[in-house]
Amino acid sequence: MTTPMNNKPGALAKALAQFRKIVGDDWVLTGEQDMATYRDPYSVVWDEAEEIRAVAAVAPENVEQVQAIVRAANELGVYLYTISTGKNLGYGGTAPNSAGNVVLDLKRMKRIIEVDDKRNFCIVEPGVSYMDLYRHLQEKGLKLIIDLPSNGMGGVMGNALDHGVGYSHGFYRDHWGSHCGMEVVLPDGELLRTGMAAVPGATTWGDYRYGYGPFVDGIFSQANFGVVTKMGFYLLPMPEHFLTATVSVPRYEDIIPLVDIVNYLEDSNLISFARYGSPMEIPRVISKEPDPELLKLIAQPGGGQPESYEAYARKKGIPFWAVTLSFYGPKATVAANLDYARQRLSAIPGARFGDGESVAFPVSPEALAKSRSASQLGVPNMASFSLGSRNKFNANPSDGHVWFSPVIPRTGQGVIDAHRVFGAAFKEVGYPSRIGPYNGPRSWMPRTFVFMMDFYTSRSDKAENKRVKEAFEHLVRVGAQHGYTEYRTAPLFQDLVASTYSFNDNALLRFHERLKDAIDPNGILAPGRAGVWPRHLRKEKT
Amino acid sequence: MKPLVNLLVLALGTAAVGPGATAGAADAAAQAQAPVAQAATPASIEAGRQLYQRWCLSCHAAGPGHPGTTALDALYKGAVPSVLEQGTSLDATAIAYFVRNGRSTMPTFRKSEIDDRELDDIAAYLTARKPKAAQHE
Repeated sequence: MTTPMNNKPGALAKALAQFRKIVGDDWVLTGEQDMATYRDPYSVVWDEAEEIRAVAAVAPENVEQVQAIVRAANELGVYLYTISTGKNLGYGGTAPNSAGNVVLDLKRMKRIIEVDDKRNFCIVEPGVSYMDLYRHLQEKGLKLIIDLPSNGMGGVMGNALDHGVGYSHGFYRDHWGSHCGMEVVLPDGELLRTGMAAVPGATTWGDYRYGYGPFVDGIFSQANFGVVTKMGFYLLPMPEHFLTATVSVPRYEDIIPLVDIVNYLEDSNLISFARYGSPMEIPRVISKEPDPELLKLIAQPGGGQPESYEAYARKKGIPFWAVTLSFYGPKATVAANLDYARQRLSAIPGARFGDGESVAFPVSPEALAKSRSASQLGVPNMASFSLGSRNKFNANPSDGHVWFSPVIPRTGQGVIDAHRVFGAAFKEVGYPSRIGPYNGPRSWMPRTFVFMMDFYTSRSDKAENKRVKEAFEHLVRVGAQHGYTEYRTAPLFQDLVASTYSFNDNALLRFHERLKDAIDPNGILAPGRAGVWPRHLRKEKT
Repeated sequence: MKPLVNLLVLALGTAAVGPGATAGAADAAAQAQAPVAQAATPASIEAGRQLYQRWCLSCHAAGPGHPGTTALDALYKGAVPSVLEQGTSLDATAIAYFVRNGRSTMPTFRKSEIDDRELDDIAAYLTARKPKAAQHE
């Protein structure tokens, strides 16, 4: 939604003048070329009236400067939209929710404040990327593993604050869930610390997250109640060994017992990340031309019916589902856990087992070069950004992507139901289906599935972008009718997604608005973020 | 063999009419963002090498799993090296354009990430490798 600028006449110019005094002329950016770098390069509404562009950017290098900037903005009523590394690609990047915002760019705040490989935590500033933290661990010889998202350039803090996820073990994959203690600049410029960070002299910031009293950290994630300037995170101690192995099952409905058993194994801490897939799911980067018969099946409106894929799998002698199980730990222990997993999974008729990778930590360059699991080995990379980009079989690359990623029950029946509901939704809206019976769920979150449906964006084809937007919004609405909705989305869709959390006349959103009005009465921080608008803009919203 | 710089300019031209930029924007942007010419010193080349490793290598290194290299491989079809460090004719203007404007799934990079001086250093590194890189062609 495009909102009118609320800045009072001259307020922006006054604010920018104050910002220059705070951070210096070089770090207040207003020129056309500089501001082009603050657009969302993956925008679905690129060059359209709906595309929200920031009016300026200010890049402080320490928390005192952040406080001064926020105080000035609050006094003048100028909106600030905070980014950390600005690489939340596919979920909005650097672009704000509403017009008239100055981007508060925290990339220059990139201190790694503390890393402890005995108590296994780190405390970082917003500009620290996963690659920065990995480099630090390497340089210092620290025996820790970072749980990584697909985007190795992403920010450790920013990813967690947007509920990003990864590929390693248990709760570490939930990046917000593994945070411990925060430092936050409130909308009036006051500095707040939570958990044990609130205790002067305490050395337990990275150890115990709750501190004492109401646990307020949650209101600073996917939100606009403060500017988070430091966070602690639990890190996984470097294990001795990493092991993967596959199990495949022949029939579509085998997904039901398969998920039940894998859930048991994971929730008992016997396995780590389980990657669900099917040999009929075409990888993002392919090394040979896919079978035309399979492409024809996948091109069916709505993705087609399971029976056609089962017939194809039988004809080709391939299983329907394949899951790659992963294990971290002592070599003997992971081998024993794999044996047990195979024993349990062999209860599914026709189950077959295959070996995978076996890598010792610390990972040697040779082992890393051979591995297809760099992220699981804690090595940040950008391999997933081959998605939609040019390759041997894709002569018409996209300019980006957005994800439709609804939360799905972690059961085989939940997977089957989601296939049916979203396949039908694609068929209704007349868009090539981004899901079919061959798609496995994503299991990054320790206790739920999401389905990742990718939509490609363009900086030149407005008609295609329009189709993407219409299809995306249709999917959100249809999903909500069945109890599915997104865990994370780009600003363009945040109002819509917030509206799907609609229990009791959107009591949750109304509570967020009450908090907003109390904590940020002038509504200066990221108006509209996660659907939460300040009072004066709620009146204009419709 | 067509020099890499010509193909990069071709890519800019393509951007002006296809995915990647609005008509005319690429040329204008490239002119507006052309780095101030500076003599490449050993220090700037070394600084550029380190910056390249930090910012560029994850997409532009050799081998699979590097989307930039994969994309350039498909674009150039072996006519010139798809690994940027192996190119012989990279142009500082084109480098600056792509860093600040992105291309396809390559995002934009802000001054708070790579400032103008650092961008000059990266350009110095990538444009200083002609003798060795020429052996690849």
